[in-house]
Amino acid sequence: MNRDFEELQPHERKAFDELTKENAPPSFLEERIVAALKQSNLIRSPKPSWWPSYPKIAVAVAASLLLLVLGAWAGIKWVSAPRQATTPEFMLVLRTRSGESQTKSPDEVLRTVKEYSNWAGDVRQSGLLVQGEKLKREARIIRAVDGRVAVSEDQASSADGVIAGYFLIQAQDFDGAVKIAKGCPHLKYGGTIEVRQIDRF
Amino acid sequence: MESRHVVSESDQVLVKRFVRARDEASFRKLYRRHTPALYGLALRLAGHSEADAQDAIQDTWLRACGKLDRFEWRSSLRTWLMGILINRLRELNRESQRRCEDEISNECSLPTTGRQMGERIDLEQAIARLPAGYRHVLVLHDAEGYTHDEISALLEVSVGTSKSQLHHARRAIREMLQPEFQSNE
Repeated sequence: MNRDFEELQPHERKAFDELTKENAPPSFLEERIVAALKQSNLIRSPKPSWWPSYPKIAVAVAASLLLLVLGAWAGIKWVSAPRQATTPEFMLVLRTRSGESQTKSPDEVLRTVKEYSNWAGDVRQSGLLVQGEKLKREARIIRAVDGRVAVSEDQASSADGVIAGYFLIQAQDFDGAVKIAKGCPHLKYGGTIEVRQIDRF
Repeated sequence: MESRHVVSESDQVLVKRFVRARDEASFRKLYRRHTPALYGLALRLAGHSEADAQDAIQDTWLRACGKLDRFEWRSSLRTWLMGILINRLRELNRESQRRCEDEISNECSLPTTGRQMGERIDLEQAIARLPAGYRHVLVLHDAEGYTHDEISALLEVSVGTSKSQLHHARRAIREMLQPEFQSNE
């Protein structure tokens, strides 16, 4: 009995020392975790690399942007041809009922995020996912009122349900897009998905 | 074991920036630096169940990111992360056991320390076949170098239990790795 609990023999110690200490995780895991952290508001999306750190740079960048926008506006009639018409793209607009409680336990959030990311991973693996993001409820509503632009801070709402996120996918036609959308776990949670084709012109 | 207690300035810089700005870039650097070691440990503790290991890693980072602003650097970041990971794996293990108790399922077979006559397995496979309690203590003590006091704190068991589990685990491992199956009796 006691012999078993003696220190490891040299060859046993060597065997343990030779065990691999690190193991590369699958690449999708990082994206899944980042998505979960965003879902939980624990990280923010990265600012663009050009985002200014100092006021002077901010002014310079703002001026450059203004020039860029003006240039784009002025030259719009000479812009190059629109994107090559390849595979049609569709936007899946995910809506949830506005009255639905947004409060979920961390474990529920984890399970939900995992389901969505698994589904998105499958679509991505088949080469049909362009992009997708969850949207926060906080919104700015911009309206023209009496010739002036009014901006109000509000929670997104709609009689058809609140837009909770979107996916941009590729499909040969509506039927193909609907088929992909039917697999989205959003439906299981009582949400609706509106499929709209991107209208390139 | 000393290296586990060395505070990495780089980690501190990244954590400080992350806590201040919650920026994705700092998180990704921390993730890429520490996850291979965490994943290696998770796989071994989970008996090489990739799904369990990945879930545990995800939960570990979620919990860690929620508590990083209160991390006091009494240990290295990696040691702290490993503590969270080990706890999460224990929870997953308990959940799995509860499911197995609730369900009559053939998929819920317990790990077996037995091997077929003539079957040759390596140390990694033998560890994976240990019952979870034995496996956790053996991996932490013999593969990761934790002391019984540390294991006692990490697994919330007494030092005596840790020693006892190690005793049984080593005996099971030695039995599995013997060239021919022999009874100790």
